[in-house]
Amino acid sequence: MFNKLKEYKGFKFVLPSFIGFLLLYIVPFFGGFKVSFSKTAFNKGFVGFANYLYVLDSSAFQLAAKNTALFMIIAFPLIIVLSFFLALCIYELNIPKMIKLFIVIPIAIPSAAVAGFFKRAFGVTGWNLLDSEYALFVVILIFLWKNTGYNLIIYLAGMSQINKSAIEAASIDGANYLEKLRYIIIPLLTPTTVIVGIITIINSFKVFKDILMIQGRYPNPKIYMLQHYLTNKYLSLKYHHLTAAAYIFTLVILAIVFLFLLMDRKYAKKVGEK
Amino acid sequence: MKRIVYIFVVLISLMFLFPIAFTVANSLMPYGQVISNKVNFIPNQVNLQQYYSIVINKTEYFKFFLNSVKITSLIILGQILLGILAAFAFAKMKFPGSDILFMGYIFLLLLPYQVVLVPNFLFFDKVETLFNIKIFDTHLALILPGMFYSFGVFILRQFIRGIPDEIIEAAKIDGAGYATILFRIILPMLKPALFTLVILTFIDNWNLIDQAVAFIETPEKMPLSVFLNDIYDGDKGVFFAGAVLYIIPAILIFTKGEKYLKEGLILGGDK
Repeated sequence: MFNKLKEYKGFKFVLPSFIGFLLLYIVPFFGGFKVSFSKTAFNKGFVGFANYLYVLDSSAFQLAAKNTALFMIIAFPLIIVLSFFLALCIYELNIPKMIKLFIVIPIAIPSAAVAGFFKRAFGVTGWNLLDSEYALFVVILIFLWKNTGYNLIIYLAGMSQINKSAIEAASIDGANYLEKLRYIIIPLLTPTTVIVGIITIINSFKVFKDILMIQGRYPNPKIYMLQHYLTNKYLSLKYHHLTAAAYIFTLVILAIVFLFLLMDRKYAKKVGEK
Repeated sequence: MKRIVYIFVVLISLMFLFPIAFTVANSLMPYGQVISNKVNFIPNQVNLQQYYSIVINKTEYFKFFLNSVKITSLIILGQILLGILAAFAFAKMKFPGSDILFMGYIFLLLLPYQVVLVPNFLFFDKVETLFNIKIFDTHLALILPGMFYSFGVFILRQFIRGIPDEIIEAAKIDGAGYATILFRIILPMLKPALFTLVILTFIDNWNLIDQAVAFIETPEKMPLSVFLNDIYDGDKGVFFAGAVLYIIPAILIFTKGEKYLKEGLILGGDK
């Protein structure tokens, strides 16, 4: 009995954070299921999956899901390539710290403070991309501007840990730069890329802040995101739809994360075999 | 070739700087030039009219500024205190179930706030009905989820994992308990990770928007972000000066600790 208690010594340290985690997130997360199966939050009648079906079938949800997916599919590879390329240049060419700082500093700038610039740069009469069908590209541009620096720091940290002797050995064997990049640098940076990928997913949801500051709760339909859908459902007190939509969203993210981990595993195995 | 790439990178970096430079330049323009429909990049005449007008006529600006300071600093405090304790246990005092629990912490980080909002809302609602404590439309609704967000635990745990076990074993042999080890030995080594945590938590919450839109109704209780956004539509003439004043603390804190980010963000080796 005493030994058993001893094993849980560490839990004492986790406890303060755990209490909040449990009460604010875990318990109500499961408690919300009940709401998602109720007629409304105020009428507890059981309706099965009706709310889920309603959400999946609604055109607003479909539009939001389509835009969010489109944004991710374009922005995700773009930012990874851009930040990798810039990190590589800075790493190889000894580019001064100042230049790096310029790319990194947008991380720190609050969305509301630059919303004025973006409204003036892309939303004035005669040049109003924000209200055109190209609005998503402006949002992607904002996303790249704001988050490339974050990934750049992580890539630079990863690159600084590369063992130079492997690269030198390849040079002696006559490998050119592209070969070294393909067979040594990129494979060695795979764990870093996985982290960059996860951070990118986390940050990609925050682009909502910028859209909200620039166009409010009901933006151009081209940049209406799932976050808009959820916020508006919440503010219009449609909690039964809100919870159903939130669980669908969570399930999708869970699936993506699972896929990511699977890819990472597969890669680790491949390297292990070699 | 190298020279071309070099110049290319410099040009890109200037593009990254441009939105900030534009905002600063516009903040130094006279009132009339800013509110004109033409987009201007260079002030006709450099003056501090906008700043003056905020200090004299828009004193409520500073009230919102203080709202943001209060919310952000309390969240940072909670993140540090709760994070240090939990991260140490997750890294060096594993207990049955600790790895699964930690995965739950990580999964929370991956969810957009609009999803997390649901459990937060249900919890606040419960507390209000059970204990008659007001949470909706108070800063508590912003501070509580911020304090208990698992980001601090995550960053600090990754860093503590990198500290060799031998250091802890040696201290144990000398008779030190875990609390002593944590506060006397580990804590002084955490500087880069703590700086990283403070900077990133500051940036995230200085830019707090989503939570306020959901939980705050009284305009006076809003963080600076929401207020500044209203200024753009109502009183564009002082927007850019307001934006610059909003940016300054973020840039100061960021440039002060930026050099620690690289060390604090080395998150690899977690397999």
